[in-house]
Order: sequence, then structure tokens, then C-alpha cells
Amino acid sequence: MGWLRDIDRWFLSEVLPHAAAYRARAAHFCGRDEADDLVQEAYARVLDTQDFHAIQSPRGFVLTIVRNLALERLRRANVVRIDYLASLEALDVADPAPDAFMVSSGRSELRQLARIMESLPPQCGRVLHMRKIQGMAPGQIAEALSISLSTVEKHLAKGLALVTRARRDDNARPEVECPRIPAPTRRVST
Amino acid sequence: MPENSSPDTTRIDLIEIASGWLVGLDAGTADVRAFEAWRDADPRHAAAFAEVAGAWSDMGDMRLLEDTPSAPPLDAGSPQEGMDDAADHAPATRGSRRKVLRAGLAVGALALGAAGLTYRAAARESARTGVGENARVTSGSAMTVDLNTDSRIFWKDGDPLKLWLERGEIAIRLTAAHRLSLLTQGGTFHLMPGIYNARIRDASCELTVLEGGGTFGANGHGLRTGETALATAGKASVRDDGEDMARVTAWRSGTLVLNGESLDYALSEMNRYLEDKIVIGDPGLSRLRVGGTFATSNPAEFLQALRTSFAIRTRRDDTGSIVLTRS
Repeated sequence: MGWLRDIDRWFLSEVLPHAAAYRARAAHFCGRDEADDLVQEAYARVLDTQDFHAIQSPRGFVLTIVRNLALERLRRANVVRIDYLASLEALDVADPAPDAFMVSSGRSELRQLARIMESLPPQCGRVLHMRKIQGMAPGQIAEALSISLSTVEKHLAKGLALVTRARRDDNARPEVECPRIPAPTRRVST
Repeated sequence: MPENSSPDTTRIDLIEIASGWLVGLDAGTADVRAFEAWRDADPRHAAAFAEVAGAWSDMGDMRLLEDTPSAPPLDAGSPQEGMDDAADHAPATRGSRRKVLRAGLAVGALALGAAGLTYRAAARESARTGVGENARVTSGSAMTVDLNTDSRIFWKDGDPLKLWLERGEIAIRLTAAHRLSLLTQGGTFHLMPGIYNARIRDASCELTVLEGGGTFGANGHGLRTGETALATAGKASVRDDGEDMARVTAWRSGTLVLNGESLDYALSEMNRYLEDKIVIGDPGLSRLRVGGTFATSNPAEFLQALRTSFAIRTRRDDTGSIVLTRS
């Protein structure tokens, strides 16, 4: 895709595959309602980084940003649980929800995508299928279905937005299923 | 960052807007400059666009999975004819793409089994172990990775191979003619064929070169056999462990080797393998020195040693933890 910049390609291959981990960490800090927003904010910061090539571990980098943004938000909030903040400091190393970090294998990701596509509104799904799976050009699709090119584009855009959002929701699911707080083994070390 | 956070509507709109741009660019109807101006206006726009582009590109990969038909009902002849009729609209690459598609359908039965493998070459794999478990994974003939307790890795084929150590400890065996980038939160190691042990410690990663060699980070700090590098935030300190190698690899035979370390340390090592942790109930005990070789699969032996050597009492509290106190 020629319209992607270097940083976008890097973002796609190095940052985005770990979306479930960011989402889980954000949810751990700020709750599920704010998690998506927090992750999007972290993405924005990452894509604003000038020297992205210098980032050694993009996943760790984003997790740290998520944590820092969460701390910022919690500090700004009127009610701050001091003990909670302290425990967040300690969380630098611990994974908040290890089970949520399963990045599924390629095959199951594709199956998940197939499932999402099957649940699209029929016209949307059909047009998307023709474009992405059968590899037909938008103009050819318009002709084959006797609809205008702009209608084809509307279906494609709607389908693509639905698929993107559904994938995000799927990323959130493991975290919902197994909320897990790190075992407080630290308490005994004093 | 915008002060007004009305996240839901903004976020949803951004995905829709980004989808609109992508589809327009794909169809050649969008104004590229206007798109770039939109994307540059706010990194949130760029993020939404990248996410949408990821979904778009992954949907293309689904051709590998043609066995799961989400295909809309198409009349047998007409769309094909339509495609041929409209060939003059299509870019030159379209024809070859269709050939690929047809070839794919022709070997559909084969592809059914092979699709996972084919795609795996491009995707990132992962493996994890729970507390007390271990596992072995291989990447073709190039690499074998043993995972110690409570560990998680991701890896990706290529040259070099890429391996992410997220948590825990692993032993890596890299065969001749392969190179590996080991990515950790502490920094990236570039490794030659050989045998390595890597362990996450807090925010750092400790890498021991049992055989082989490599470099660390962008400036290429060299690592030789017998050396251990502790990498933190992109910087490494290197030490030579010499004969201590056996301790580094002891976990692979299910043992923990202690050589006069404090009880604190001994417990933190042993607890890595235990769901029910052993905890110190009497602060005075933490400075005791412990030595010996213990099985990590069964703490009974270790506890027995503590009881007999130090007259320590053990009891389970109501959370299942094993509490140590003076008798």
C-alpha cells in the first residue's frame, strides 16, 4: 500500500499486533470504559515519535506509555487511591493480565476475521469480499452489481470500519474473560 | 492532547473517516494531498488510518483461507464475464492477481491444510508457560526455544529470525547459518548461531552466551562465549560468569542451584515455580544463607532442608501460601 509511510508500516508490524496487551494494561489501570481511549492516545503518541527506529522494544515502549498516561489520568482525578498508585509503580515489570496477552496465531486471526466478515450486513460483506478476496477493482464491482462507484466505496468504507471496530472488540475480550491482578508476593519481602 | 475527552464519538468517527480515506485512495478517487493534510493534522488520525489499513491488508490475506466461504452468492457466469469485460479498467497487475486466485482455488484442497503454515511464515507466533510449566517450541530447523516457568515469547520467521522475550526465561539454540534478533524490554541482542539463556529480571534482560556470540544494541557492543549481559533501557553491562554456567542452565534439568545466597533470594527463585508461594513470616530469617541443589518441581525437599538445617517451621496460611517462621 503506497499510501503508508515508513512509520505506519512499522506501526502495523511492530506495535499493532500487541493491541490486546495494551488494551489489557489500560483496562487494568483505568477500567474497561476508558481503556480504548487510553490506547488510542498512546498510539497517537507513538506515531508522533520522530525517531521511531530507535525504539528497541515497541511493545514495551507502548506499554510504558499506556502506564504513564494512566498515571497522569489518575493523578488528575480527584479521588486518588494512594495505595493503588504505589502498586502501579511496582507494576513496571509485572504483566497486569498475562492471560490476555495471547496473540493468536495467524490462522486463528484469519478465521476470526472471516467470522467478522460473515457477520457484516449482506451488501457490505459482498462488496468487501469481491474487492479483498476476489481481488476485483472497485470499478469492476460497480459494473458487476450495477451500482455506482461511489456506492461501492460507501459499502467498502462501512464494511472496513465495522471490521476494524470488531477486531478491536475481539482484542478486548480475553481481558474481560480473565481479569487477573498480579499476586501480591511483594508484601512478604519486608 | 485535547482537553475535551468525548472519546466515544471521536473515536468512532475517526475510524469511519479513515476507512473513507482508505477506500477512496484504493479506488483512486481520493485527493492524495487532502488525505495527507488530514493525516498530518493529528497523530490520532494517523493512528486510526494505520489501524484501518491493517484490517484492510489482513482481509487480503484471507485469500489464503478460501476454505471458509464468506463468499456472497454470485451468479456463476456473470461476475467472471464482468471481470473480463471490464479488464480495460483494471490495472495491469489485476490479471496476475486473478491467476493467483485461480491457482489458489485449483489447489484448494491442499491449501486447506497448508494455509496455516503458509500464513505462519508471515505472522507472529507466540508461546507461553504457566507457573511450574515448561515447554519447547521450534521454528523449523533454525531455532529451538525452551521456556522455563511463567514465560512468554513471540517469534517471527525471517532473516534474521525475530524473537521477543516478554516474560520469564528461555534457552535458545540457534543452528548454523541462522541469525536471530532477540528483542526485550532492556534492548535488542543480535545473535549468531549458538546456545543462549535469556531471562527477564525486573525491567532488564539478562543474556548469557553459553556458546556462540553476538552484539547488543545499535552500537554493537560485542558478546562472547561465557559472558552475561544485563541489558537495561538500551544499555548493557557485561560480566564474565566463567564456571558459573551450570547454574544458569540448571533449570533445564528441573533444578535450582543455590550457593550461599540469602533465603530471600532463594525463595524468590523457588517461588517462580510455585503457585502457592513460600513466604517469610519472620523478618529475621531473610538473611539466612542457603546452599544446595533442589528440585523445582517439588518444594517439599527444599522445605525439608530448611526445617532440618535451620529449625524453621512451615505452615500453610488460608490463602495457600507456605509461611516460614522460627520454631
